[in-house]
Amino acid sequence: MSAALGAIAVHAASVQQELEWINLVLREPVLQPAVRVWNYAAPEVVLGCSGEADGAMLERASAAGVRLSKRPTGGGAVLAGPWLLGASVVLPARHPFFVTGLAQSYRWFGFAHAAWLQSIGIAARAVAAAQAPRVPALSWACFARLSHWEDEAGGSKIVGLAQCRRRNGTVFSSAVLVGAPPWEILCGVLGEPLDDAAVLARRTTSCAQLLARPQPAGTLASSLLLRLAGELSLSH
Amino acid sequence: MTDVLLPDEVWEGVEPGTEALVDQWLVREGERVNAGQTLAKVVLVKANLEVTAPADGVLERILVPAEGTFPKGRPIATLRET
Repeated sequence: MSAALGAIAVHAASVQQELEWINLVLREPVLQPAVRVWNYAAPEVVLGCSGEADGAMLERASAAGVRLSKRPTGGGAVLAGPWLLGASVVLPARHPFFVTGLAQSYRWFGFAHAAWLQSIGIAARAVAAAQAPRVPALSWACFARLSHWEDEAGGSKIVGLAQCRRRNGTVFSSAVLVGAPPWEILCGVLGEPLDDAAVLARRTTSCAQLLARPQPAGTLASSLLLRLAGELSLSH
Repeated sequence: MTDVLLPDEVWEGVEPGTEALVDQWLVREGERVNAGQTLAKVVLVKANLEVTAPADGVLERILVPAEGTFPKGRPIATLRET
């Protein structure tokens, strides 16, 4: 199991690799924190744990050449791909960062991402849900609005957060927009109106849009890993 | 009869009116369970959580089926302690 721990950036990753790692580490009691940052190679639609893919959705995904996965955490669908970095932080059941109350439990994670974004030159902040702008929900899409302590920059969402609590430990997951996603792919696969792609584009921003000198996703993955590992006092 | 609940502490800071969703039941009505055993998985505020048996017993009745929602404080099942 020790090979599964530590802090590693996984380049050219797939969502399947990420899900397999999460399953592996939660199979036994988690004794120490671990971090992975996932730099996705290809487009994949990832449903929240309560999302269901029917036959029509599977057909649309196949026609679009997009894999369809379901993650163990809650929330709306995400379009993974080269425009997105994923981070998974596994904590032992009694880690100091673990807070029982769900709303506050995201605070440290949102602040860690805001601090990282600020360190690379993006004026981001983690937003308490009460301060989040009230916008009509597109509840099927993770990036449609801010949830507890998710990050925004310039009034637009840039980081989504979720978690999965098991008796063996907790996994916090984040999705960071490093580029502008082709939202129409997500709308198309989910069978939602294509007009919603423009809504998602308006409500979100990305590192590429905000940095004067865009950085490669691999570079961003390495610096995010460094930040999260530092938060957890992990070597990598 | 004992209620099976998502503990109030978990709901701290969650906006009033928010409901949780039962994602999956792992046991059936009439099944014997042990204290601490995971009975169901539920979703609240983008988190997937386990609801565990508060005592040894038999799961008497499921009050909120899979894909059903429930507010803070509402039992999702009842347990007959043995």
